[in-house]
Amino acid sequence: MKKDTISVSLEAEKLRAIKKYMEKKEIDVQDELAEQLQKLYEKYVPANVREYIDEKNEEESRAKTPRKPAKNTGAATSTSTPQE
Amino acid sequence: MSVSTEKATLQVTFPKEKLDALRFYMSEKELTVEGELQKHISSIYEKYVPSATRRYLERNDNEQENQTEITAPISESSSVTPRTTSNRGRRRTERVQSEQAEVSTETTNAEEIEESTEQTEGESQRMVMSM
Repeated sequence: MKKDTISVSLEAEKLRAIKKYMEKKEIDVQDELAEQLQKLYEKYVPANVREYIDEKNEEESRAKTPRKPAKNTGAATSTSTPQE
Repeated sequence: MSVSTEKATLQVTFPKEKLDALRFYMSEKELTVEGELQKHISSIYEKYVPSATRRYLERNDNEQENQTEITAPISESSSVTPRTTSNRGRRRTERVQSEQAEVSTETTNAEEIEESTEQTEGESQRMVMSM
């Protein structure tokens, strides 16, 4: 799935302080922001829409990954490379 | 002392389609993802950075505010007041002149009235004496 970037700007000195004090508690600022973004997603996007997006992504990822040869087939087929 | 207002940017990646959906539903509530993250950053700042450090870091903001407060009246007084004083001065002098004129006419009237009352009193006294 394609990724998009969100930028948030703030004073460098303040960011430095945030990072310093968060490091002491072994927390990463970017992880915290990513977590908040996920919370926002769950708060504002309705559950059925989220479900739809998740299913669509799963389908897309399944279609992209090459098919593995079936287990029950013979040794000749297992060694051959997938043609798709 | 130079005031540093250097800006830093934090970047977070998120699945595009999910972000599109989030932007869509947030815009219905007149909100932006960036705005909400900005709010979250300031809450993180207040949560993790001790108040003493925050006060130290925000000293520059206070200095800037004070400087603008100090400079603003000076610029006003230097540029605006001479005009106003000249106009006011004119108006005042005109007013004072007219008031003085009014006062002088009032005093003359009062003097005249006093004189006339004195005269009438004198006449009445004379009338009494003669009676």
